[in-house]
Amino acid sequence: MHPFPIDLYAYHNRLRTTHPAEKILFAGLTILICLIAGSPVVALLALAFVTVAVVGVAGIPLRAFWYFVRLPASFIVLGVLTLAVMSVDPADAGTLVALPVGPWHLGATWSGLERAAQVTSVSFACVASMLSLALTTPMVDITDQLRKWRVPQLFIELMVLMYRFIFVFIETAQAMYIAQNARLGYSNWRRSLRSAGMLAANLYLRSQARAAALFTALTARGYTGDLRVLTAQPTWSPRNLLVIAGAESVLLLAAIATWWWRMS
Amino acid sequence: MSRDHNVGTRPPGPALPGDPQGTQKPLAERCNGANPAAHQPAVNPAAPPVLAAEGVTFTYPDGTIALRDLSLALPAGRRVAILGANGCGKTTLFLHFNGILQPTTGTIALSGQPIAYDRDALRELRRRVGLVFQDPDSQLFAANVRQDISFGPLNLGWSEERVRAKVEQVIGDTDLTDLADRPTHLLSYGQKKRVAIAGVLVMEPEVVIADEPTAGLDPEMTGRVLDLLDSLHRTGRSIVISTHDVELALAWADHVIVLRQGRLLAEGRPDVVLADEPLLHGARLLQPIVVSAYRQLRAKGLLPPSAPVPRTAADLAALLVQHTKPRAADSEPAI
Repeated sequence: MHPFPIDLYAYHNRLRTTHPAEKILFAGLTILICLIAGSPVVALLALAFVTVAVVGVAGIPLRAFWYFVRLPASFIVLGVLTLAVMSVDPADAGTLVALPVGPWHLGATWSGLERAAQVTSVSFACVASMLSLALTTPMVDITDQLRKWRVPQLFIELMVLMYRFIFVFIETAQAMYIAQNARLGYSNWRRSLRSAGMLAANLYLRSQARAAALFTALTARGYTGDLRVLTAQPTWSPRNLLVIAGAESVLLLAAIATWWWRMS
Repeated sequence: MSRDHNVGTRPPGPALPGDPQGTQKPLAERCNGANPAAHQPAVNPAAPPVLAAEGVTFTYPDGTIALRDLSLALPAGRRVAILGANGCGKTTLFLHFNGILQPTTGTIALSGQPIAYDRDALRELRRRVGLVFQDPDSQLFAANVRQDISFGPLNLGWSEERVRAKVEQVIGDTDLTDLADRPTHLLSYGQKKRVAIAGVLVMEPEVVIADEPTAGLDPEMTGRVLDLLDSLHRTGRSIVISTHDVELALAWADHVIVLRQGRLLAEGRPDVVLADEPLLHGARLLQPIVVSAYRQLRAKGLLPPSAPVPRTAADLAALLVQHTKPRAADSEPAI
C-alpha cells in the first residue's frame, strides 16, 4: 500500500498538470477570504466551491475527499466545545441552557453558539481549501513554484528534505515495527509501550545515520550548500485564471454582503 | 542453486550512443571470456592509471584503521572489480577517490596527478570521478527523478539550458523516460539504483565507481545495471565496482583487486587471481563455482592441465566440447 494516500492523489488527478500557481492562488485566496470574512455563509459557500473543484474538476472521489476533511474534525470539535459550552449567568437573557455545577453554572449562550458555528465552518472551509491544494498538487510542484516566487532557499530546502524523509522514516519505522511485532513486541500493553519507545529512540539514531549518509552522497555530487534542482516550466491557463477570479469574486461579494447585513 | 550470471532471458538494456549492436547478448558473450580483446575500446597502454593510491593510510576519528599503507593502481579504460570481505576498506577507498576523505598519510592520484583538496579542485574531481553509493536511498533526495538527476550538473555551474539538455539525454540513455516524473519514493529498489547511476552519469565523469552495484538486486535488475555499466565502458570510461561476488568479478571484470583489512592482497587478471584458492581463502572469499568445477574436471583428467581457466559456465562448456574426444561409434553410424 502507498504509505501516504494524499501523495498518491496528488500524482493522479485531472488537475495534475495545471499550473501550480493557479492552484496555490485558488487555495490561498479562498482561505484568506474565509478568515477575513469569518462568516458561516461565506465558509459554506467556499466549502461548496472547493468540493466542486476537488471532486468535480480534479476527479477525486467524494468519499476520499470527505475522509481527509474529517481527519482534523476531532481537533476542531474539541476546540470549538470550549466556545459553545462555558460558564454562564442564568439570569442573563441570552442564556439558553444553564446547568448548576457547584457554585457556577455551565451552559450555552446564543452568542457563544454563533461564535462556535462560525469557527467550525471557517475551520472546515480552510482545511478543505488546503486539501484542494494538497490533493491536486505534488510537493515538487509546490516547491518549484515557491522557488520561482523567491521564497528563501533555506525554507524550501527544509521542505524538500522533510518531504523526502517522511517516506524514508515511514518505511524504516514500518520495518522496525514488523520486526518487533514478529518477536511479540506488541503482545500486551506494557510490552507495546516498551517496544514503541525503543522504536522511537532507534528511529532517532537511524535518522542521524541517514542524514550523515545523505550529506556524504550529496558531497560526492558536488554539494557545497545549495540544493539546486531543475524546475518544471508549466503554462498558465487564462480560462483557469478566469474561473478562479470568478469564484473568488463571488466569495468576496458574499463576504461584503454578510458584513453589510450585520452592520445594518 | 544457480550462481550463473549468464542470464539468457534478460530484456534489452539501455542503448547508449556508441553502442550500435545493442546489449541483448548474455553476459558471457559480452565479457571477455576466451578473447580478452573483444569489445574493448582502444586503451593506450602507456596511459597513467586512471586512479592510484600511493602509501595511503586512513584512520577514522574513532581510531579504526580502515586503510593500511595501501598502494594500488586502477588501469584506465578498464572494468575493475575490487573484491574483499565486509569491512576490508572498499567503501573507504572509494570515498578517497572522490575526495570526500583525505588520506591520513599517502596520496591519491587521478590520471597521474596527485589530487588537491581546495574547493575548485574538488569540484573538478567530483565531476571526473562519479561515485554511485550502495544504498540509493542515501543518495536520492529530490522529490522526483528528473530533479534528482539535475542536482549534480547544477552544482558544476553549467547553464540551465545545458543542464536541461544533458538531463534529458541521460534520462533517455538510462531508459528512465517513463520514470522521469515519478516521485523518488515510489520507485522500486532496482529503479532507485538506476536513477542513482543516472545522477552520476549526467556529470560526464571519466571514471564511474559503483559501490556494490548489484547487491540486493534480482537477476534481471543485476543484468540491467551491468548492461548499463558495460555500455558506459564501451564509450571509453573506466568502470570500478566493489563486490564480494566472485562469479560476477570473474565473468565481468578486466582487472581485479583483492583487499584484506585495508591492505592490498593481490591484483591482476581475474582468471589468474580468482583461480588462486589460498589467496581467496585468505581474503575470506569463496572460489568461483566455475573455477571449482574446472579444477575437479582437470583432476579427473577430463580437461588437460593446459586448458585455460574458464570465466563463465559457457566457457567451461566450450572447453569440455573442445577436449572431449568424439566417440566414433556414436557419431558415425556403421555402414
